[in-house]
Amino acid sequence: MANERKTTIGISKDLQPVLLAAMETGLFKEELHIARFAIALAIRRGKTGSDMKNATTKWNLGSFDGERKLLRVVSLLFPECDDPIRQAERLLRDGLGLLRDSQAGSSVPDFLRLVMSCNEAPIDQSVEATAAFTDQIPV
Amino acid sequence: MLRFKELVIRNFGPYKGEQSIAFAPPGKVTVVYGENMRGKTSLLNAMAYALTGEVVGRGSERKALHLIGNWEAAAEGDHGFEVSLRFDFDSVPYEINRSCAVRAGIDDPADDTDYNQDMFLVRDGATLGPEESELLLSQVMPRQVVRFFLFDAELLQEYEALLRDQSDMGVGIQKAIERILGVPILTNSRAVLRQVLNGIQSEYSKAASKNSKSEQMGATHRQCIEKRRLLESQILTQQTELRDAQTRKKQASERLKRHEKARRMLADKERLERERRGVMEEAERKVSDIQTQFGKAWLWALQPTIGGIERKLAQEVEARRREETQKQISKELKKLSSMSLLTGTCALCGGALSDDSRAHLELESESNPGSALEKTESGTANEGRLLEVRSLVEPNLLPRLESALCELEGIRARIAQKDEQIADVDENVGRIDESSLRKDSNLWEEVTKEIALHESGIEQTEEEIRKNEASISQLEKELDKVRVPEMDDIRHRKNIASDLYQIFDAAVGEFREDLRRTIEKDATRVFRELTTEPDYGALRINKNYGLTIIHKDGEAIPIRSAGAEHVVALSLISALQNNAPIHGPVVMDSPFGRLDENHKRHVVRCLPTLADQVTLLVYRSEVDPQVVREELKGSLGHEYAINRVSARHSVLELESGGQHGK
Repeated sequence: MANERKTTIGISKDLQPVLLAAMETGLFKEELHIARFAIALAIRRGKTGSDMKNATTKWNLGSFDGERKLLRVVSLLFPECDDPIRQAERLLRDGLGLLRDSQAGSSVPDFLRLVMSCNEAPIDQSVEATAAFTDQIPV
Repeated sequence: MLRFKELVIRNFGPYKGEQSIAFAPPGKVTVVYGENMRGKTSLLNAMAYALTGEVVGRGSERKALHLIGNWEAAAEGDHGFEVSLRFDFDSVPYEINRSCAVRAGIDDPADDTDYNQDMFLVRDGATLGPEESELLLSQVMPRQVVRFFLFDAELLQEYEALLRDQSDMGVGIQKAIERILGVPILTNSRAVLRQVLNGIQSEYSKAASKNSKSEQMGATHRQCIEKRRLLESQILTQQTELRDAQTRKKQASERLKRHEKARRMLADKERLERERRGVMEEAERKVSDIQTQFGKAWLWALQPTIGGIERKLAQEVEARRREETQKQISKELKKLSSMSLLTGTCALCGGALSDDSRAHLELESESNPGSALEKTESGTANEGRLLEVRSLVEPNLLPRLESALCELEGIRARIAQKDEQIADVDENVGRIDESSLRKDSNLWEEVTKEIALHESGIEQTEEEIRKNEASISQLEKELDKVRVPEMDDIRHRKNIASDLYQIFDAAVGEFREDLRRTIEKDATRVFRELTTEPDYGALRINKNYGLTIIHKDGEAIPIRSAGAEHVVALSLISALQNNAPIHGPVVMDSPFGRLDENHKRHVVRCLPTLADQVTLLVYRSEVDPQVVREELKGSLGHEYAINRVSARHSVLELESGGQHGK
């Protein structure tokens, strides 16, 4: 049992306000949508994941990524990582950190601009960056 | 002739701080646009206050000055207000300043007693004394006729009431009409003549009583004269009581109207709240749509990454496929080579193999022993990954999301607008007091009965006066037959006074008749310019200044629309302006109420002919500014707009024409 992998995702207490602030924008229906976006943001900003210390369980995998789409992307991008759920959690930490940084000086980040900036990255760079699946992606 | 030049107001009604309006020069029309509750009527009231020191509200009730100062300024501790009007009267420049300031030592005024009013009038640079100022102002614009120059929709409605029937309101307005036409000078003179005649008649009674031949008749004559004095005094009291009752009825009617207005405002509020709910639901739907889209934000953010992976995997899968095809071809060729070497015949064309060909095939066979044709695991895995990655490719819907966010912003702006409108209504609606409504309703009914009693009483008294007058007349005829020399002189004076009175009375009647005919003619001229109905030929006036529309065929039009009544009322006002002994600027507050577009055009076109100086206070949906410009052309002077800062703060801004310094 000790070796059994955790199928839950958590965040540390210090990152909870980031979720709350993002929820206040009214743009997201649920916190897990923000969390997924934070993971995507971390990937697009070339983060490789930092350990989530003192994480409190927030979601189970079924609700977080029922169709496993996100985990699939994580697995593809980080093939050497044998636990994509933990990798996603690490990326979540980085992503929420990025959101917190972008909140500095303003009440909430401009999520539309953030999504657009991620979405508008030159495709060629992405191809190069993802050549080995684990390369960092410049945004 | 009175001409307005500039009005400067400070903290008057919704006008916070000092604001001003410069009136267009003679011959030009000044137009002030302002939506409901922005302060059009306050502007009208400020002009009236400058001229009279009073602000009269609905139902001719004097407004408490305490409630006139700007609320926002008062909340900031700046109570009271000031009005200054610059004008020319008979080409001499004047400036009147009136202020209403809080008494010393009072921080939080509660009613009018907490204020001091101050006024000074400057004529051509020299300040006049208080008595001279009052005298001059009574000549410039007597208090009683101000409403005919500075009028609102309420006055038009009163005219309409006059035109419709002989209601209590009609009686009041008839008197006011005669006042503006200068008739009271004549009727007052007639009353003086009557007093003189009454005095001489008393002397005649006394003289008759002194002679035995006429003693009895003289005593009876004296009793009749005394009775007439009592009856005249009685009828004056009855008339005063009637006027008082009419005023109370009018005030009760106005309060009932205000209740009605408050109810309408509440209905408006409900409508606004309903509309707001609709917009809120629209916002909720939009938010839900946006949230659904933002649920995919992570996927959109990853599209370049996914696209890169997809292309890379596709390239690898394609390369792998090419390699496998090549291997398959090699395998087939090897089979054919082996078969050809075995049979000595080319497996493709069936020809015999030459020695060179055989040697070449043997060499090829040795150098290419054959590769494994099985798919590698990595090749199969990449194909699976490619399918997975392709399932993650999403169309770019970000522009749609961006436009949804813009739409949401627009919807939220509409909600904010509704909130503001609701707040405005809340500010103005106050609280509807049902008990007060019932009280006013009962009062109205009681006072209506009271008026009927007074009217009947006056009729009875008038009848008694007529009978008494006939008795006096009969007695005087009898007394005239008694030939007593001592009575000759007084009889002679009595006859002169009586003839004079009768002549003057007939002259007043004739003058009134002439005046009515002139007004009928002028009102008809204006009416034909204003009306859009070509079959309407004229207006006919009755003794109470009521006007009836006459068809071209000479028949009276018995029933007319609200719009037609409005046009007739405007025609009457115009005719009164033309015939009044006082001439001055006309300021009209929202006069287009129930007129259709064509009538509005006609009215606007006629404005420059209404008076030497006309100012129009309207809301934009009442009359289209473009129509005003088209119809007035060169006669359009200044255009102002009353813009909202808050429900309690409006600003006057010059939009076109003139120079606005403040």
